[in-house]
Amino acid sequence: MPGVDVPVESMEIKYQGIFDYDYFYAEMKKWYNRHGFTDFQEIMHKFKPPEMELGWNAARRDTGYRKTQHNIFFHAWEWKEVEVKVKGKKKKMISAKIKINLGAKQILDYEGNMEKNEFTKTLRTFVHKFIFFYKIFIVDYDTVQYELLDLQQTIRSLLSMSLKGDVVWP
Amino acid sequence: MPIRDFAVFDEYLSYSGPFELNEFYKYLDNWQKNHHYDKFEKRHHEKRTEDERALEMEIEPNKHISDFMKLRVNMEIHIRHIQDIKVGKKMLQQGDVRIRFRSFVEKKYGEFWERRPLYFFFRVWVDKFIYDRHLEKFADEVRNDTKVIKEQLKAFFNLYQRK
Repeated sequence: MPGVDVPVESMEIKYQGIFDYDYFYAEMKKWYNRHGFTDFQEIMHKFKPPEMELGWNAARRDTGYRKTQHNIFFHAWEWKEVEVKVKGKKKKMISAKIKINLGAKQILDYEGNMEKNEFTKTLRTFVHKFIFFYKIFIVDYDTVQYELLDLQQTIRSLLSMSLKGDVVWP
Repeated sequence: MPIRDFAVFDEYLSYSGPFELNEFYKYLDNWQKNHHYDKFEKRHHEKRTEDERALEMEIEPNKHISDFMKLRVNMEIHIRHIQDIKVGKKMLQQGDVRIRFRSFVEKKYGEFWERRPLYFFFRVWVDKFIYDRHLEKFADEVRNDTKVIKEQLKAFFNLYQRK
């Protein structure tokens, strides 16, 4: 893969209880559409009851030089379909133990235009380290990190977890 | 690999009684915002079964000091035996809360200073004997911030006992 990766700190969510899987899946896809991640791929889908594994890669081209990529890994155990009464109506939901790993990174020079020879590679490193250091490692880094936090809050609300908070943008 | 200089190591806050879970979370959010820390939630675990409701999370707000230095306050929060109770018209929660505080100054010297053992030695030597007072200021700052959040959380929980 061409380009330079700048990963942000990854996060983890664990949940044990009942949730609506179809709603969760649809809303996750919507979140990515809303945030302009046009390149959404499901790189893994394993379902051997009572276990399920999903892997998602979503990418967005922010500029011609920089793109943001999210790597989501979803793992569920003790997958069981249950019937729950919601507002007097019967609804099929899932009871499971879930672990979700959220990772994100910026990919700089994703087309590999600066990888033609050693001189351009050195020039790229120089530009990253000395000219656009604050833009790449402080401003854009924070943007990616806070976007991941927003996704984490969304997942928590989709799983109806107890704590609901807002992402405090810098 | 970053180097961590601990300013606070393993201080605990325990509380058992009524409180509002969402307010508690918002309080932590606001503290981070007011003290110019970047929000970061490392882990968030929740167990919700018929007999038990428990929550465990690790938050680590951080503040940029320079290109290779960050202040971090690590809080590991365990809330067990959560139950919903009704006080007047308001719905509150009751549970056992335990918070572990750790705070440190994180130094990332970068590739160059870790390339050779001698370079690394020089860097550490300079930090220890020349920048010593300068660095101690940051350790004091993060120690103070940790103390503030601990005291504020204590006051927050005590408020519910008086209601």
